[in-house]
Amino acid sequence: MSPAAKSLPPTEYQVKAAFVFNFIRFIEFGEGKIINNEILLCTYKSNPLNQGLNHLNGKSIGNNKIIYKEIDKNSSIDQCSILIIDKKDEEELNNILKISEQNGILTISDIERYGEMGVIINMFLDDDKIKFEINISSAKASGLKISSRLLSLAKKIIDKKK
Amino acid sequence: MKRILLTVFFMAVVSYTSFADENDLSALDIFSQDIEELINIKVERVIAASKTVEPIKYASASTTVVTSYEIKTQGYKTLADILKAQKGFYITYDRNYNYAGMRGLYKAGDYNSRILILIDGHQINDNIYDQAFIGTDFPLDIDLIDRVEIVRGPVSSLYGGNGLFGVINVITKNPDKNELSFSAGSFDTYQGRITLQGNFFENGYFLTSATYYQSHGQKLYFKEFDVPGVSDGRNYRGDYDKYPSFYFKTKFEDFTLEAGYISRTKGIPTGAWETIYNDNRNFSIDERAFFDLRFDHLFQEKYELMVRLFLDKYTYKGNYVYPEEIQNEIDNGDSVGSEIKLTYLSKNLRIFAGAELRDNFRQNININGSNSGEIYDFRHNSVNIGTYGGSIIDISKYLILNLSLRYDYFEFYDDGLSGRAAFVISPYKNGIYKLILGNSYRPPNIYEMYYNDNNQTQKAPEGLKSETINQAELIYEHYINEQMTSSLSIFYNDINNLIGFDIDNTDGLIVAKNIDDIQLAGVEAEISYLNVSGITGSLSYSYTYAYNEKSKNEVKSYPSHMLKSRLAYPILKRRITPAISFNYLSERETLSSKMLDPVLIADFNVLLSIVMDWDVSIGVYNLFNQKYFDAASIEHPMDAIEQDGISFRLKIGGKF
Repeated sequence: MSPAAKSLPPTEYQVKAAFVFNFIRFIEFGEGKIINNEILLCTYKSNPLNQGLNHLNGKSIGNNKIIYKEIDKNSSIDQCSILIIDKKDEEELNNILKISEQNGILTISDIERYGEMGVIINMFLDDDKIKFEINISSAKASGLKISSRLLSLAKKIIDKKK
Repeated sequence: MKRILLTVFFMAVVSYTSFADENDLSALDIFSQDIEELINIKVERVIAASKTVEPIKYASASTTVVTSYEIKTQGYKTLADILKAQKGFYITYDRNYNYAGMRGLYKAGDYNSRILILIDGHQINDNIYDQAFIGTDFPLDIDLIDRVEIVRGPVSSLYGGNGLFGVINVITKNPDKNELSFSAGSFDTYQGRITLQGNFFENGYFLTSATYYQSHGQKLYFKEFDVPGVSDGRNYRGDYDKYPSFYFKTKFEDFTLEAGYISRTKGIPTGAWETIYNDNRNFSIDERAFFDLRFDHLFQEKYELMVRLFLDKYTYKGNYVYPEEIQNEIDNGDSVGSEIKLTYLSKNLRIFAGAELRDNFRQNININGSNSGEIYDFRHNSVNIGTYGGSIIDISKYLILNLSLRYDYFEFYDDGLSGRAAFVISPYKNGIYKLILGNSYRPPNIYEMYYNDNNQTQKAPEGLKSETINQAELIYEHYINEQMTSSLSIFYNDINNLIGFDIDNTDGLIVAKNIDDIQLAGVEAEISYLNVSGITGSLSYSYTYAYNEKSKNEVKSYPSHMLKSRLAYPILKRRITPAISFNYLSERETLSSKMLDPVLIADFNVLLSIVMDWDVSIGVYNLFNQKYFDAASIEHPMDAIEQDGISFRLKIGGKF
């Protein structure tokens, strides 16, 4: 890191995007979820997190490459490997989570209580640092394997279905 | 000074050329970090209030958050500088204190008693003058500020008698490294700070910081004192300003302990209170200490308990030189208190209730003369108890209702009751309407109620009533895109029994009175921009109109038009961040009904990141060297006080 860059703390968006990058590294997707070595990272338009997430486009993890895709409310999410969820109303969230579970999609959010609501990884701020919680039941239901290294770093493990 | 500036520019150029061939090593290189490292990275919370969904929803008022990033890039020196750049604020300086006018109302010499200032929720206003210290007398070094949350509008229903016009909550930082900073500026001004921090056990954190500031001050000239044979009007030694300040914070598990101290000495160079002009023995010392122990705990993820114990100490020492003698004033405002608050959180509902007790065990004012002995000795103590409650209800996804109510008991004054209701309506995704109805009040403070200098220049009033304000406000906020937000606010205030100092024509003495009943309307508009690479900017305009029903005159002491803009634009991979701000004030009236000319002030600052964790900031204030004046309060013999022309500051700071 250059001296100058280091002197200014990274923004919340940047660090959250770096977390997302790391989550992908420590998760084993179900069979057939990664096609043509492309990890499809889907995120809803107008999520402020996109300011950081778009920098993940083209980054490699092992043999796979991240493809960043902005979607809207009406887009189909079946093909996504990862879905970043912004604030939704309850009904919409439940629908999205249902489809994600059926399609083995890794869901990630940064909204209060979304971990409890069934999102697999939910990030939050704690004393200016970013922490995350993992809903292990949702992960299992979606057929995703989470490495123990990631689990050990989670601030909270949620083990119940909504 | 000039030589130092040149060296810095040279260094900047060298650092640019030597890094120019590097790959793009932006802050986005955090992607190469391990997750174990990421967990411990502190993030710049540029989005705390304006971006995340929850805070916007619940911020049921016109709210602005100023981050440490803006403070650093804009080169703000004091809290007054921060406020000056915000919509709805008009800041003046009488070369002793900074005064804040807010949203259409400016009362010269009111010691900012109508605005509440908090440091991490702890009240800084003292218990004699209710003074909000915002200049060099503010107890916290500006570098220790994480963010400043400004809430406009009456907030008595949450905070009691001081929140007539708004509240400014200063949130302190938790740096993860030790810090050092030094600055030198115009008028022989120097400031140094050392901050040490560390962790203990698993969850313990402490921070301790010391600052020393000293300024010789401006070389002043007042034509009012330019009387041939008596004085040439010049005062070259009387504007001095100095303070040490200390701050300590420790956190362990659910406990937070904070303590702060400042003792500021300021020369009074204006011949205030009829003292001898150009005698540098005229000064005021404001000494403020506080201690706050807080316990926060979340039970069953549903109940949040906060319990607080606090101790406050304020000492004012004034030295006034008269032809016949020197007079000394010593005021002691000390209090101890406690607060308890319980919040219930559920998905669609938050309910909170709390109580606060404050024992003002000393509220004393004492004046002695070197020849006349004791002139005035006032000893007082009082208790006040406040209880408050409220709720935030998510009625539907389109409507949130925010209600609060507070009742205060004052031992020597009429009880106060205030309430507030805010409707937050979000009919579609990017737009939010907020309708706010509320009232606030402010009981007269000890100074207004009782102060007199044995009827020498000032006497105590009789039958002084509380000030009251009823407000209605409509805000529309629109989120244009990820980076840009806009807001429009229209407000109406009905203010009654506003207290001010006036001269009683029967005896010529200064006395506090319920002078004004004011009807006030205003509009504020703002567009602000913020993006991931650190570009921040804003443009705001405000217009206010106030009518005094008692005097049947338009109130013109506050500039009716204000236009403010600022921009920080990092270049060369954030190594250099130039920032500029403009502040336009329309004409405003002095106490003797003269109009002060409109003025446009520009400030420029450049932040240079030169070596690892260290940066240099070069500020040029009043860039165009505009000559302008602020209206003075009644104790000054002049009507308006000239402000500083162009001035400079060089600051070096870093972590170790």
